Formats: sequence, C-alpha cells, structure tokens
Amino acid sequence: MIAVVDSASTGTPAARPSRWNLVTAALALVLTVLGAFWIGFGGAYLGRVLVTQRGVVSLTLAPSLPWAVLALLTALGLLLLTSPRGWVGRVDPVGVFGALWTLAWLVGLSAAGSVFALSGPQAHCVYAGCWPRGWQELLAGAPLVVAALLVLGMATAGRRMARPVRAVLPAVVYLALTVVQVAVWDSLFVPVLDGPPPFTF
Amino acid sequence: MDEQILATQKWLNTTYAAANGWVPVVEDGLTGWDVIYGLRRGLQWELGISPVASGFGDQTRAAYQAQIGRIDAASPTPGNVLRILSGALWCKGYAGLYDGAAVSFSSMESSVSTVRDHLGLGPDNPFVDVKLMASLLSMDAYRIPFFGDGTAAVREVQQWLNGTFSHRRDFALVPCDGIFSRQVQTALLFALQYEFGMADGVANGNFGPGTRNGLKTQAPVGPGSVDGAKNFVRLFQGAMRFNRIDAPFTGTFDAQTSSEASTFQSFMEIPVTGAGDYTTWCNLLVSNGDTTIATKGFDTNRQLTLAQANGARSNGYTHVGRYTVGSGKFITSGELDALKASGLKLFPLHQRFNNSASTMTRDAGRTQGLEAVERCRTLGLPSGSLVFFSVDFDPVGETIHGPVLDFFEGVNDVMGSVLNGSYEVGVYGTRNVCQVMLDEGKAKGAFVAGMSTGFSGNMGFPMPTEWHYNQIVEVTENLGGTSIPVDHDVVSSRAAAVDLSTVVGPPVERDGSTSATGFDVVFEWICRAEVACERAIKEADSALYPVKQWVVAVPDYILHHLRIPEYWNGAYSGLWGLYTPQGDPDEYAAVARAVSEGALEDLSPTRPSSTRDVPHWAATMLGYRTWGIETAHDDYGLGDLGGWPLDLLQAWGVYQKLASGPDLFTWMTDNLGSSDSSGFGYGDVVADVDAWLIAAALKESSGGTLSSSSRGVLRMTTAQRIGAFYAERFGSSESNIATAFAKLADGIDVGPVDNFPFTVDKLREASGASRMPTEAEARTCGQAFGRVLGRLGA
Repeated sequence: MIAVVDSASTGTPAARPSRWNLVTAALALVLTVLGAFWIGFGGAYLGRVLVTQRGVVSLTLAPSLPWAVLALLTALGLLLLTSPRGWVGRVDPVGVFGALWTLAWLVGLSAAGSVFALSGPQAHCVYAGCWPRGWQELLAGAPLVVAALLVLGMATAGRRMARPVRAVLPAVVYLALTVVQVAVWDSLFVPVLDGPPPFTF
Repeated sequence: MDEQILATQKWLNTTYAAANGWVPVVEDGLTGWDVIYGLRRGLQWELGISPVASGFGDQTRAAYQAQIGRIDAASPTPGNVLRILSGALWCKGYAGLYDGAAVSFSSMESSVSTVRDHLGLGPDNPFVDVKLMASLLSMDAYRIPFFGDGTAAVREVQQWLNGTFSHRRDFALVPCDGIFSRQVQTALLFALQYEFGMADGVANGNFGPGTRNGLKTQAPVGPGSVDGAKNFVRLFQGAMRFNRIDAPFTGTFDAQTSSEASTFQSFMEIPVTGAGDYTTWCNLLVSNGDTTIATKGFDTNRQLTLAQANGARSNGYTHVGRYTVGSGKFITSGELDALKASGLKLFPLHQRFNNSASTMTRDAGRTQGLEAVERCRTLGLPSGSLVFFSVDFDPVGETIHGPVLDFFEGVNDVMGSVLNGSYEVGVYGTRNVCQVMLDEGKAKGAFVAGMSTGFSGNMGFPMPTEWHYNQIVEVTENLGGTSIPVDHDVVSSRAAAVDLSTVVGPPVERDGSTSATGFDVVFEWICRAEVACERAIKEADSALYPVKQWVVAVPDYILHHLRIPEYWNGAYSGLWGLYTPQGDPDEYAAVARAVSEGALEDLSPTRPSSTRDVPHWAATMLGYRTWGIETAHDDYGLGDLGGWPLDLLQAWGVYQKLASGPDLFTWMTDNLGSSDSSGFGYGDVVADVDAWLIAAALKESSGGTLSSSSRGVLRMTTAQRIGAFYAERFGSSESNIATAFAKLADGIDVGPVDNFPFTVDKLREASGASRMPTEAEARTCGQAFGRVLGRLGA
C-alpha cells in the first residue's frame, strides 16, 4: 500500500507541483546556500582558532543582530524545505535534494574558508594533522549538519510523521543547537581547539 | 637483363677463372661496376699483368700502349682483347660481337665509330687507343641518360673538350652524358692550362697559382673576343654552361654571351661586367671563386665585442654568421646587443659535431633541431629566421641521400613543430650537399662551404640555386683593433639574414644562479618549457581534436607547473587552489593542459634552479592571470591579493606579534624587503614585482608568450624592475600605496560589494594576525612599503 500523506482532499497526490511549491522550493535552496555560506565560509560568526598559531582567536561576533538574522534566515530555508507539498508521494524530492544541496555547499564553503591561514610556504600548522583544521569547521557547522540530516529524514522515513512536526522540526533543532553552540563555544570549544589535539592522528 | 652482357660475364668467368687475383663476376646480365671490373681484370691478364686488379692505372696503361697501342682494322689484336672490347661495348649499350660473328675489329668497327662520334672524337677511321679503352672500361656514359640531369648543351662542351684536347698526354676522355662532374671540371682545368701553354706534365688539372695567373694574364675575354689559336671564349662559354648558364658555344664573345655572363655574375654576387674577367673565371671554375674580393659577410667562432662588431661594420661587412651553440663560441646576450648596435645582420649557424656520417642520424637531427629552436627563442630571433645546420665533411652520393638526409629530416621534424615562432632550416655544406637538401625540400637556403675546393661535393657541382652565402676563404682580420680568425662569406641577394634592429636579446643571469650560458636561468628555462608545451600541443592537435587553439594557455600551464608544490594543494597551500583554480573551459583545453604538463615533467631540469623565489612569482602571476591587473595607482584589485597586499599583510601579522611593540613605520621600513623573517623579504618583493610587470606585459601583448613578455622585464636589473613597478603600479607615490592598502584592510571589495562579508576575517587569518590593522595602521604599512620600494628601486 502506498502511503500518500500530503495528498489533497481526494487522497491522491497532485499531478505536478504548483507555482507556489516551486517558489518556496527555490527560496529554500537560496536560503540554505546563504546559511552554508555564513556558517561554512564565515565560521558561523564564532571565534576562530588559527591553525598556524596558538592563542590567536578571532573575535566572536555571536550572539549579535546579524548573527540572529542569518540564523533565522537559515532556519526559514530549512522550514521551506520541509513545508508540505500536495504533489509529493512517499519521498519528498525537494527535501532530499535540499538536504544534500545544503550539505554540499556547507562542506565546500567550509573547506574554502579553512584555507586562508595557509596562504604560503611560510604558513605552517602548529600541530600534527593541522589540528584543528576540519574539526573546527565541523563544530561550527554542526547545527546545520544535524538540521540537514533531519530534513533528509523527514523527506524519507519521516513522511509518516505529523505534517506540522515534520515541517518545523529541522528548523527548531537547528535554532536550538545554534543557541547552545554560541553559549558554550568560547568556554568549551575554543580551549580544546586552541590546544593540542585531544587524540593522536 | 641483357643476354649479351650475361654471355660476357660467363665468358669472363670461364676464361679467367685461373688468373691470379681473379674475382668471379656475378652472372646476372646487368651492367655495372662488377662486370666492368671483370673486363679490366681480363684485359690485365691479357697484357701479362699478374696478379690482376680492378683498377685501370698506370701499369695497365703502359702495358696497353706497349703491347697493343691501338685496336683498329689494320692492327693484329688478340682475340680475347677483342672480346673484352666487345664486352665493354655491350655494357655501354653499343653492339659488340654477336654469337657466330668473326672475332675481329671489323665486326665492331661500326660501333667503335659511333662511340668515338659520341665522345666527340669523330667517326672516321675508328680505333681504340688506351684513352678510349680506359673510358670504355668505366661507367662513363656517352649519351644523355633518359633519367638524369644531363643536358645537350653540356654534352656539346664535353664532346668538344674530348675532340680538342684528347691528344694531350694527361687529358683523360670525359663522359658525354651532359652532366657536369668532378671529372669534367678537371678536364676543363686541363684544357685551360693547355691553352695557357703549359706542357704535358706541367698541366695537372688543379686550380693553383699557375692557373690563377693564367686566368689573370691570358684568359680574360669580353665582348668582341673571338677564338683563334686559343680557345678561351669557348672555354668560358663552356664553363658557363657547366654552371647552368645557357650560353652559346661558338667561340665568339657575342652579345648573348655577355648577357649570360652578366646573369652569372649577378647570380654569384660578383661585379657585373658582362665580360670574362678574372673574378668571373674563378667563380666559374672553383667553389671559392676569387678569394681576393671584398665580401659583405663573414662568419667566425669568436664571441664578438661591440668594438669588434663596429670594426666589422667599418671594414664593410653587413652580415655576420655566428653560432647559436657551442662552448665558447655561442652568441651571448651581450654580443647580440653589440651586433644590433653595430647594425650587422645575423645568419645563425647551428653545429655540434656533424663531421662524419656516423654523427648524422635522424635522432641527432631532432636533438639539434630542438636545441636550435630553444636557443633561437631564447635569443629572441624572429619567427621564420633561417638557421643553417652544418654538414662539416665531404659526404658523397649515398651518404648524402642516406645519413645526411636523415639528419635533415630529423631537423625538420622539430623545427616546424612549435606553434609560436618556428624557424626555417638552412644547410651548410658542400654544393652537392646543399643542392640535394634544397631539392629534397629539407632546406630553404644554403650556406655553401665553398672554401673547401677539394671536396668532391664542390668539384663538378654548380652553385646551388638557392644559395645565400658562400664561404670562400679563412683569414685573420683586424676587427676594431683585435685580430681574429674569420671566414669571408659572399652574401647573396637572396640571403634572408636576421635583422637585429627589432630583436631584444635574452636577459642575463644577475642573481647568482648557475648558468652555463650566462642567460637568466629562469628565462632560459621558460623558453625551453614553451617549446616543449607547444610541441606537445601541436602533436596532440588534429582536425577532429583541435587543441591547438589552447596554445594561448601555455603561460598558465607553465606558471602552474612552477608554483607546485609550494603554492598548490599541498598540506599548507589550499588557499591557492581557491584563489587560482586550474580549470579547463572544454575538453580540448583539458587535453592541451594534460600534454603540456606531461611535457613539462619530462623537461630536464623539471624546474629552473634559480636563487629567485620562482614558485612565489609564478603563484602571484597566476593571481593576475586569473583576476586581472589593477591599473589605478591608489587601489588594489583581486589579482593583487596573491602578491604585495598579502605579503604586506603577513608582515603586519609578524609585526603584530612582536612583544616589544616598536614603531610600526620604522619597523616596516627596516624590515620590509630585507629580512625574510618580516614575512615580506627581498625575495618576496622581487617575486611580486616581477609578477606584476610580466603579467602586465603579457596582457599588453594580447596572446603573447611568457618568454616574450618576460624578456624585456628581466633584462632590467632588479633595482630597475622594482623602480619600474613602483612607478607603473603606484605612480611612485607612497600615498597611493597607503590608500590602496587601507582599502584592503577593511575587507575585500568584490564587484559592487564593498568589504564583502567575512573577508576581513579571512584576511586576518591569511596574515596570521589576531586583528587587522586599523586604517591608520594600514596607511602606515603602505607608506612604509612605498618607502622601501623607492629605496630598493633607486
């Protein structure tokens, strides 16, 4: 039996997406790229540790109004990715694509944003494995990564969940994790990132 | 296969098998030296010579004259000698003795008569004396071969020579095949010497002092001259015919003879008098002609100074031949400048050994061709310049058509294999070598080694039609106060010498790197790298796969190769992958890149061994290639980011970590451009300066090469380059640098967006500083950098 959760009143999916569906999907993709950019390339406005020096940490810009606006816009993008669509069947292709799209941009922009400290032959990593390169970006992007995975889950296995829950869960989780992240970043994460790697490479 | 020749071969083997020294003749019915040698051996045996040999020398001649004298209808001649005569006639294509015919001279009288007529000896009262027998027992032809270069005009002269001078003791009959050969040239010299009055035994067929004196005192002829007791007009006309001039052969120096003489004189670039003067005679007779004439050209293996070059001009020279390679003899950068300043034109010579057949292989040709292309590009010689490759020995027919031709095929394989600035192939060698290479399409011009008059390749061969230079004599000459050995070269009006007025020579090595040539190590390597890339791309190009169009990207391929690994995706340089990514617009570009990278990896050395920071220069220049060149004096562009701004920012990062907190301006002016620990040492300054200057030149050239763009820049001293950069980039203003750097310090402007988000933080990370400089601090850094540029560029 095929479960048609987002069906119209007739109980069968629409033949094609509406113009509204297309607009919201496009907007969602744009907003999630914006999120990936400021989180991946901009480090989520969190203080960043230099891989080439100890004790040099950039100023943490969060929480601040720009940070809040960008976080909310990113959450809106997630929300639009999971918003209900009448034509969708068992798997929501917009959700699946949007989650992968967001993750891809996040990974690419995080990688791009991590290389600036390594701008020439004189720039050498302090620690083996260039700690915390990669880990710092992973921690900064963690809320969006989790949210994107939730979007993926909602678009596939989570299609049986209630529509409102499914629509808001990734955005809410993202916002919650972002707030927690800002709260503990300087005190909890920065010392670890600035210190020697906690494990052997 | 000829039945009569086969019968002759069988008869020889049967008759002389027991003769001492006999070598069996191949019984194949074909004429050739094998059967001719057999006939000679047979004749020797009949004359009582033992052991027999294959030559027809003095002993054979003497025995023939003593025992036989002449064979004719009235003389009793041994039957076997008549059979040998018969065999010789058959081999020459005339009827000898048929089966069953009486073995007598009368059976062959008609053929002998015809032979004598063909040789110019007249058909009447035929006989065979020792000269005719020697001629018959050779491969000389008496008719113009169906396939060959013989002409009736030359044959007429050959016949006349035989008819007129065969009675002289040392005059050997010449073939009458219409072909000018060494043998014919010798006969012509004998004839002249006889006309000079030289006695038998004195005349020797050589072009020596006696002959030169005779030419000066007796042989001059001109309009109105008519042969009488002497035949100088006919000899002059015949000599012109031997040199491919269609002169009459009448013994009267008429208007046509004068006109043709003028044609020859013009062709040989000697004074056009229309008369048979001494100089013209010499040029008709020997490959070096009149060695006393003043020539416009010379060549030498000495590296010339400006004084010597000017001295050469003062001596009347306009062309100089100089070697492209060779220890102690190659053209140096300074010499090229001197030649240019003096106004001399250059004809480049390329020679390694090339002095025996064993050195002439296709691989050697390729090697030398590649070496020539690389060196000519390094020297800055313009596209299409004719480079003469040397054949410095005297090869004969099979060697010329074998190894020498192979060598030139190898040269041609390479010389036309580049996409920018290919060069033409010329040949230096004997007349024969030059003519064959020209005929085979392997050379566009000839530099004739006419000085080697005794070389077989010069004797009996007319001047090649496409000769450019003729080397006639080696002398020691005073050039600008110094006596040096030079070869005088007659210059043809066809000579396509290199006009050096537009040539910019290669930069010299100034940075202490080891350079075998004295050329800038990086520049020389770039020239070789370009050639390698262009050849690889051209080889990969086809109608279906047009990759040639991407030759414009060769500078990028080379720069990318040079910045690896320091400024590429290694452990420490990810930024450069982001800033200057290597992408290909289409599949053809990808192929062009792949083959170029392969060619660069195959170069030796793979990268230039320079004391300059080449990877830094290459990476910075790629930034300009990727993002463009900012021309406003008081602003920065994205292309700058990999250059001076990043370095200045890193210097800021170093300063910012100093615990002592010295004065910023003082620290910057003290440390920038001097201390590597400042993050912006002297090597970095030079790399940034060179990158901007060469990138600007490359952009200006619109599709030019990296070598052509860097040539002018690297010819300047380092201080001059820094000064030029300061002037052209910033208008020599500290304030402009300060403004530009301050604009950067608050974030990167991307298109219409000022201070693009997050870029300040990224710049800070790149600088290694905990914070970016304030505007005031940035201005101070910029001013200090300007001060340093002004100081270093002074």
